[in-house]
Amino acid sequence: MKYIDPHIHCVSRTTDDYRYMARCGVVAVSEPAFWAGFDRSSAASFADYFRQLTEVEPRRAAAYGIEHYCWLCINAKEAENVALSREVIRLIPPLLDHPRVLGVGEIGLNKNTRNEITIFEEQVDLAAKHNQLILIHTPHLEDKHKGTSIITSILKNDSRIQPSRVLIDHCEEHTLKLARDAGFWAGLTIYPVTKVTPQRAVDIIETYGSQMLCVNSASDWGESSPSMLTDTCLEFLARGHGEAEAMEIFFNNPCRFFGQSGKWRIEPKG
Amino acid sequence: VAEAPVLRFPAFISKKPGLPPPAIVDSIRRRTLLCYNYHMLNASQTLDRYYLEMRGKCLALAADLDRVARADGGPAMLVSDPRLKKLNAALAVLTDGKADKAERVQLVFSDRTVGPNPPAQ
Repeated sequence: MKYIDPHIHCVSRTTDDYRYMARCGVVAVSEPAFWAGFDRSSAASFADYFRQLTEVEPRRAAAYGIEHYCWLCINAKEAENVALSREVIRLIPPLLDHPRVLGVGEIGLNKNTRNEITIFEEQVDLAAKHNQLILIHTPHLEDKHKGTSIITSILKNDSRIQPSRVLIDHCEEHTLKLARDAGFWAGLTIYPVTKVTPQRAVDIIETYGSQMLCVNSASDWGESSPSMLTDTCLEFLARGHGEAEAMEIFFNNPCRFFGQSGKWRIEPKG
Repeated sequence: VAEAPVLRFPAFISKKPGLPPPAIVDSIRRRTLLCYNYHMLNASQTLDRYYLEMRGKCLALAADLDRVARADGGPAMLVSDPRLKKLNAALAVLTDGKADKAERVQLVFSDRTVGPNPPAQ
């Protein structure tokens, strides 16, 4: 079984995690730009971070036989600072042609504030003007349903945005339909604590189907693990589902979504 | 058994490009969900597989509530804290005999206001 982790924050992980992923059969990953656990003080910090995403992590991943791609943006949490966000957004266009950059992401909302919405709309505009794929971060916990509703409304009202070129991530039981019914791809992010577990992820797949759905581990600087991806697949198989259907979810679907970028080099299998 | 080819249809077509959009496929699939899983674990087998884990989660929550109650100010907090009120509302969903419990529990814990929120302090 080969896997793709379509949303993982490798900058926060050790080489042991890369080795673990390689042992498990993870052959490619995509890493969205996100919050580092603290607010950065200037746009220069983001310029360095973007270099880490486009140059350093692909080299680190390649040492374990893993293809590494990334996404660029100002994340939803730091988007509360509108002036800084606009400086960061100006850094992005020259990097969008980089062969490892799949699109703009993970953009979205954190606490559903007016400033976050302003910067989200500006980054949607950036993606539309440059014909980029979009990876969406939806808020966590009590803010998720409202935030996902706001995000999908904004995207649906922008005639330039093709839903099939947008993946709404961190979906859960109460938000997956908001994404899928509008024609967007949906992502499930699996955590060992506080969010979706492997068991609930498979429940969601069984209830809503596996089409236009990706599963990821997020694996960030908090309590998280690359094993959540493989554990979810094991739970899926343990319930009696076949390996062919598992391959659709854990390998082929990411290839199909990312393949629209024109840069992703891995083809769906079978 | 005779219905099996029809019941496998949603899973089968979901892999074909250019066929109905996911909303339609999902709609068909949800209607046939119980039968779609005909080759999977039945209810008794599912409960066998997960019961001890479910029991453990129930006990863990009971112990959590006991811990709050034993702490200084606990009894008053159990009846007044808005988070625990939401927890009680969620527990009511578990025993109401209706479907889609996970989705409805999620909504109990969701901000249902309209419009942007104020910035965090």
